[in-house]
Amino acid sequence: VEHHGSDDFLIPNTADRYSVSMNSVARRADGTFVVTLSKAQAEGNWIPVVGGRFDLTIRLYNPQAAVVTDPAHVALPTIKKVSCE
Amino acid sequence: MIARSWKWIAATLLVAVVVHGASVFLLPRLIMIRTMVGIAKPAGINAIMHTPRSTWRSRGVVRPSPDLLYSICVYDLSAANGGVRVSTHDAPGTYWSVSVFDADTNNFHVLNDRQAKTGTDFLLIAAGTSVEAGPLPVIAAPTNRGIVLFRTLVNDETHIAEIDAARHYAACEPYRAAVR
Repeated sequence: VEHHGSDDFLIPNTADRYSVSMNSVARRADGTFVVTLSKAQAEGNWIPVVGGRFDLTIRLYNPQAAVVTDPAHVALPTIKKVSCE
Repeated sequence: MIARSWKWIAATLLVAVVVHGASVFLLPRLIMIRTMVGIAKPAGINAIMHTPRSTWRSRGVVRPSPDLLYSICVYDLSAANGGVRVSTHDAPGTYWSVSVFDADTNNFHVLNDRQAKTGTDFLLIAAGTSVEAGPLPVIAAPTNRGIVLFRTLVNDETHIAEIDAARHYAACEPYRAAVR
């Protein structure tokens, strides 16, 4: 999962963090994961953002055949707005 | 009054057709020209360039992936005297792909690690020409100029050196053979 700003480029940040992947993300005991996107550094999986709009893209490399034949039924991560400036 | 209305309708339709045509036929080509010029300036023609990993400073092409290593080549078959040979080794344990685009942004050929487990090696030639390619598969390009894009996934940060080294086996170079 990666983020891009409203200009369609990666969002500037001093930590050089722009994404999490299946191998880099920290998971909970049940296998699920939570990623925080925020200006301020957050505990756990954190992707820095600045003010303004951004979007998230999930890229699936070599997915299972069912994902290719029926992408509408992929269990995508949910997105929750926690706070807003 | 009615005649005047028809003139406006006709003028509006004409403008719509012109704008639509320009958007559909010219815009993709202009986008590719701009992109190819930007790449060829540092990399040259029919030569591969291995770009650094994308960061927020990467402003050449929109929506770069921070998890992919991109290698890129602007091909010009009119300058290659026969064709351009495109090859890459396998990048073990990770996803990679080779995509070929024509001068109108159309992706007319693609291979990935599932389809070519040990890498790929093919010859790009201009449509309507032929060349002694030996055992090499031949791909006919709809336009003389375009882009070959190699993508290699960094699926493990601890192995980035090996993954980066593997992509450096990729090549995109003139194939020295006479066109029949």
